[in-house]
Amino acid sequence: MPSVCLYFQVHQPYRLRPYSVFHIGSHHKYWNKRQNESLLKRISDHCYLPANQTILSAIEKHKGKFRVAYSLSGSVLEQLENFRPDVLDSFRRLAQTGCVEFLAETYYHSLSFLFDREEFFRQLTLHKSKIQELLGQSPSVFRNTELIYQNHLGFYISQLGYSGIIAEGTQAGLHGRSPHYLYHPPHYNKIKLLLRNYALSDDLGFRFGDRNWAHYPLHTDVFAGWLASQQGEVICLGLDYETFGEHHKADTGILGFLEALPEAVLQTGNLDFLTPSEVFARYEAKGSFDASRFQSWAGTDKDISPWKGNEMQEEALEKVYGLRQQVLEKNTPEILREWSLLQTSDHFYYMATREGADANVHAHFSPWKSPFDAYIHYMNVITDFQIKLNKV
Amino acid sequence: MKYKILTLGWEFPPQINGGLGVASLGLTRALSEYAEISVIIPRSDPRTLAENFQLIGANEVDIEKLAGETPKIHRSILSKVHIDYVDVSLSGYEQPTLYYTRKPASRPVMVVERPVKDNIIGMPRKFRLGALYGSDLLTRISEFTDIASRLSRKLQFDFIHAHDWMTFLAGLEIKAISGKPLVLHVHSLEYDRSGPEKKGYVFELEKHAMQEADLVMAVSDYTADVIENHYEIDPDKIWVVPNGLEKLKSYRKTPPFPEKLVVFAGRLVAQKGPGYFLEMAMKVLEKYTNVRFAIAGQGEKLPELVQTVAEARLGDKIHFTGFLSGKDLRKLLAMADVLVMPSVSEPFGLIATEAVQMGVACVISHQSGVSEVLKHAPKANYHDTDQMAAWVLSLLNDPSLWRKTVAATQKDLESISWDISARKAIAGFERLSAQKK
Repeated sequence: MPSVCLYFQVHQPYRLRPYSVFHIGSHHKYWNKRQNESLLKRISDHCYLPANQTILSAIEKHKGKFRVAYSLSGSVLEQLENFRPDVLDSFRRLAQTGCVEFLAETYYHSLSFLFDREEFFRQLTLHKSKIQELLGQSPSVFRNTELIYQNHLGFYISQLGYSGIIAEGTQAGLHGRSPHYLYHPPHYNKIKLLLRNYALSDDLGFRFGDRNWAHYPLHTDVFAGWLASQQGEVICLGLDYETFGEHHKADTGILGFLEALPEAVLQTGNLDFLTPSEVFARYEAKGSFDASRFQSWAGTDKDISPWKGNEMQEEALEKVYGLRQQVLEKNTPEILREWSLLQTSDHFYYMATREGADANVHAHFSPWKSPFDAYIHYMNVITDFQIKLNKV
Repeated sequence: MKYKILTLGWEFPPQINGGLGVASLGLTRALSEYAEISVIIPRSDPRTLAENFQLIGANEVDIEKLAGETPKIHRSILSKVHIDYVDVSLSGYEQPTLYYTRKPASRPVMVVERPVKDNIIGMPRKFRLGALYGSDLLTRISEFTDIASRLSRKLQFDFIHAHDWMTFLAGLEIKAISGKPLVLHVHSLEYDRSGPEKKGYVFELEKHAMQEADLVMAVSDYTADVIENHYEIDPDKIWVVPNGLEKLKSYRKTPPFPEKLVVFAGRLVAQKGPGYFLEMAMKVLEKYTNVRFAIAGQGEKLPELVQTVAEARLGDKIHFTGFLSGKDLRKLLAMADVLVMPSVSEPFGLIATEAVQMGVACVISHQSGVSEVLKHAPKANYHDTDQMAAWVLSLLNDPSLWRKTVAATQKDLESISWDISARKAIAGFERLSAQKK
């Protein structure tokens, strides 16, 4: 009887305001407050609130048999605290059911593991205490920004005491094996890997609303049937939470699909729901999963090129992480926080110059008209931040 | 007796995107002291100040009331030339975004199939409103030619004075109808915009019109040379009328950052040499770090330029501003120490005269008309970025050289005015008049 492990990624960045050469040195207001607030409110109304209510009802209805996990970034938690405490309350109610697990990630949804291990550790710690403070849980499973993963991350995370990591079930790592078992990094069995099934996840995340898709419109019992026909021990489905009501608008029927899914899955008779830590407690790793290069859940290539794939991104990343020493020397909460917010991966995602289907996905999420605008304004902000750091 | 001149214009402030509109208005205003002028332009705008001359917008004309048959000449010219593209450097003008996303740099120049059909010429009721430049530029030109030539039958004039290639067909048409001498005023050429190797339809049209014209006025000696040597026009027909000066309210502003500021301002197209500016900037930064560079403007080269900056890891030293309004451009100049204009081929170079007035030291390319005016400005060949960087370094390092350069070039500007230009133009008309007798 395979288990279904469902987790949702919840993240909203602090987007930058248009910051021109005239602003450099004249003021340090980097964030597009109005846009960030209005987007958060819109997404709360379209997605977070109704989806949370749907999940809560399903948990109550199925009396513990429906279980899910969430990965909430620190930056979305802060924004909810400030602008939508009602959404935060609804997450608290979910936490109180005992059927919802909250995952560990970097507070600022950053790429810090790639550039600065100390910063990575700081953001993990910060995130852990935020989850404890707001939701009363201490995360035991780690999920890195955009499922970015490499063997070293496995070693590092196991030393911090986490029971497991969620990673993308890439073909490069699986070599034809099934993603429906737990794995461990090569020659190292002190941590387990739960692998996301991207084909089934993307059926919901990307194809659900596609009228040209052979299975459109997708019915819950059809999807549950696909799950029931899978071999193995655990099917991990990971989705942006915004899939429900924001990426796919309510009129696609996505919220109804979410509402009907738990019952349809349980009715197949050979599936159950587990949270990630329950998966790690129940199942053993069946083999080694080798990711010598960085992989992620994004794009068609499943690599880190959406964030670190061109010279603009390379420079922006080098420049922001290069400020570490100066930021620490300043040692003020405000400077540290601004530096951290500038590390959020979304800034670099907006700078991606890609073609084809991936380009549309990038454009959909970007507040900028082009990747060049994203770079230009980001670098102007970095310039001002440098000036600020250089002042006594 | 004052001459009566029928002027054909395309851009007129506030409908402008470069020097053409500014210069057309400046010259026409000054000429109106010496001649009676009627101006036909595609779109009139109530904000245009036409104090002393008659301004007719084709958008205001009621075609039904115009006499005359559909003109024939421009139809035959249009159908003789195989028009298989619209010049991309014109269709990309003035988009509101920094980067014109419809034309990624990685793709070849957009090809617009435009077979010659009778209905291009058609019978438009009114000149269609919309952008002066765009993919249906040729349709607009055809419509403008149609309306202007019919209008001309109702007007009295001694000369036709047509500004830049968009109005040249109308000029030829009206010359054929009226038998009056045609004077072409060349502010910019396809040779400048697209380079000497790209001789397309616009080049052919310019050449044909200049061959047919009675006199060709050029805004600089530089442009007169191009007309003679690259268009093979009889030098006796070429008459230089240097541009005048748009007086600016000058002010200086301390930048909010501690570094000095070196500016490029212009469309980001090959003609303006933004790539040479970057090369120069990188050479300066090797020796002098207390400086920032700003690239003001937009265009098809932006992606390439931005990526070059990123590759050099200079995104925190070289800043792109996108398109700036006139007010913001002056604000940038007010903060700038040096403006570098590395134009590959620049008939005049209005921006340099603006920068000088704003108290900025200018380094300009020899391949520009304005270099004839700014005798005391440091100059280099557009591709000689070593020389350009050396000049910029000297100006940044030596405050007294900087002060002397600004003062001397400001004095240089005293040698030009629109009144001087107008008198030079009138002398051209007089010469033509004498020849005809």
